[in-house]
Amino acid sequence: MNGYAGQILRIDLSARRSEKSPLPDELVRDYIGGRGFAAKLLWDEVPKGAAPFSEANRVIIASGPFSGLFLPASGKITFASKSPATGGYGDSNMGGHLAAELKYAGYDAVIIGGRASAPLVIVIDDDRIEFRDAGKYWGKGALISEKMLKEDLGEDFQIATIGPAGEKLVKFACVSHDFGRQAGRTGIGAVLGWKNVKAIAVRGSKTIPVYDQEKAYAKGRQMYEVCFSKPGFKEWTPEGTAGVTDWVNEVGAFPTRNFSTTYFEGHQDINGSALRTRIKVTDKGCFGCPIPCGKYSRVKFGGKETYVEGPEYETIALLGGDCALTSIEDVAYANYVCDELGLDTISGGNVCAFAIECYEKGILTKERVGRELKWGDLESVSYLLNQIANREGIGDLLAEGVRTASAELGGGSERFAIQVKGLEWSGYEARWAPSMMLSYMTCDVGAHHNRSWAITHDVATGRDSLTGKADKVIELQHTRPLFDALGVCRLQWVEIGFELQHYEQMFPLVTGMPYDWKQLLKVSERIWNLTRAFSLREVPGFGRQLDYPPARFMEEPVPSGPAQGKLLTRDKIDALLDDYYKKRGWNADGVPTREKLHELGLDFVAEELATCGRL
Amino acid sequence: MRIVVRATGMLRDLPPFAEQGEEIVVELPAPASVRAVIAAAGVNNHLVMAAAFDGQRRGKDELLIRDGELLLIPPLAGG
Repeated sequence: MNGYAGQILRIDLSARRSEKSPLPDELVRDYIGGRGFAAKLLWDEVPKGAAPFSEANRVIIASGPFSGLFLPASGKITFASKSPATGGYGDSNMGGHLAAELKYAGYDAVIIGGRASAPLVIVIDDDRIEFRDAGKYWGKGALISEKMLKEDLGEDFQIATIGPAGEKLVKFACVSHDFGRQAGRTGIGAVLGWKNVKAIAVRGSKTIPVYDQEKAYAKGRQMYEVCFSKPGFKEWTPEGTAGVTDWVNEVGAFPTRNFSTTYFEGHQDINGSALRTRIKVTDKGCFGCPIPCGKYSRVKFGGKETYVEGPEYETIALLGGDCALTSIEDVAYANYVCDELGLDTISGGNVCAFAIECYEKGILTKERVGRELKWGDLESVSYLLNQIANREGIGDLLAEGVRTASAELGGGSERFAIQVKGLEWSGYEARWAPSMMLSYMTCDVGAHHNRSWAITHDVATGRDSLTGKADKVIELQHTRPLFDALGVCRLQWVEIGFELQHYEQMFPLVTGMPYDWKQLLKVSERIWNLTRAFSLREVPGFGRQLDYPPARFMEEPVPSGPAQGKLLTRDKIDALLDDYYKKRGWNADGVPTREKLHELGLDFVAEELATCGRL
Repeated sequence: MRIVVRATGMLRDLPPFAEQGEEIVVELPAPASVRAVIAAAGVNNHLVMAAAFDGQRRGKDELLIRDGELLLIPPLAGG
């Protein structure tokens, strides 16, 4: 099967058994790879109503047809599971080198089910699958564990680990790899922790068949040359995503003090320039990447030098502005703490900011927290992150995420629990950005930006207008996640204007499948509807009610900065949703209609939703 | 002062570059800030994240005093 390793590896942890099976033709045809494989395999494999922390839940690891091949940034892999954060479909995409290595070992996807009786490491060494005792790594940090495993197994293994947060089932625990790359969102690290999987180590030595090797090689070469020749290539790389920090402040969209406002007066001390000139050691890229977005940095804390990959923009926004940390060094250290503990920096920053605001308002007390909490105080943030990862004191509640924490704390805190569907909001405040707001509201995994990064569309087309916003969001929700199905990074396209036509031209050369871009987008739409259906099947009350943003964004005008006075009232939010559902072919509650599901070849989904009473 | 303004990424697909092509030539008295040059080219300053003058990164409030090429970079992030 061209472009694919050709096998799925199934692991039953309870039985300590593995089984290989051929990659089904129809899975390739209808879902392409990566996120598409993950969505379909989860739908098929996880029984309705299975708890996220249960033997029946699965962790799917899936690469795409471009993963590991000679073309720009072909190092992307998807981790997916029924999310402990949301109860619905969860996935997170990760760079590094794991995707390529897994395919070289002979597998396009790994399905992990059951639960090991004791902590273990899954070792995938070509055809040899081994379960190793993880006793010596359990309790250790994610970065330290990766280093130890490299020493024990060999430098040529690519390793994904979890930290203490995953072991303690923190709902926003991540999967870590390559000393600073994460599958950060939706809590998949916690699912692995529950299953007693400390790490997955992969080494492969095989080749991947390609439909037209000569032409694919020539095309790959051309793609690199085009990337290198792009205006902006040289200017973008030195700061990576951190370079956008000033701009997000300029347009009044920067999360500041738990999203209470949208301009951070200290942003110039935590921006891309501060990163580049004060702490960056070198650039760091993933497999095959021509524009390395990773920035490897060094900071001193407590007299000790600490190295960290980052901080990238999202971390700057949520640990920086949202917690009001005032130096890039403080943000980098908080980033390091999260990485070692195995915490998602987006949710981690969000939860800390939520706790600080609760403290400020008297909803949390010094007695309950164990110390004072202050904005801009690295010790407050570091203390909270450690309490959370170890589920100690107030950390045990905060480890559940802001939705659950606010439900227990009360006192009006649900108004400023900044989440959608149980997933904390990432780095773009959207009270003056209707298409970005809609993007967050309708993202399939919760409040995440990467499915539809539409804020520039708002700025370009009018931030007070709702017209055309739903169309743009839908277009982006099909285009951007398609990269996650192909197994390639979208930053070349997003950041330096690398044209989409190159991927369209490469796809048939790699796979032999005569799909044009329009057909690939149709596959992406199928995946989008399937992930929505998964959550409809699994989460009681899923639909319109869970698409709304927190009350703060609908009822509190932005108090300061460029967006002062702006908000999107409930009637505007409803207008956005109505337009979006209609254009998607969904009903007024956000449920795909039978006709839409039929059009996408998802009749089996319609049948199951009907039996659940959702259709 | 004669500045050749060029765009990258999504800026090429938006006005004025979408209508006028890859380059827009602006003539204005020196000194002028990067922000002023961007405005004189008819580009929305809020769609420009960064600018490079003859290959050197420049802040929007920095002054330009001679002829050259100004490359405009749109907001870049979004994972």
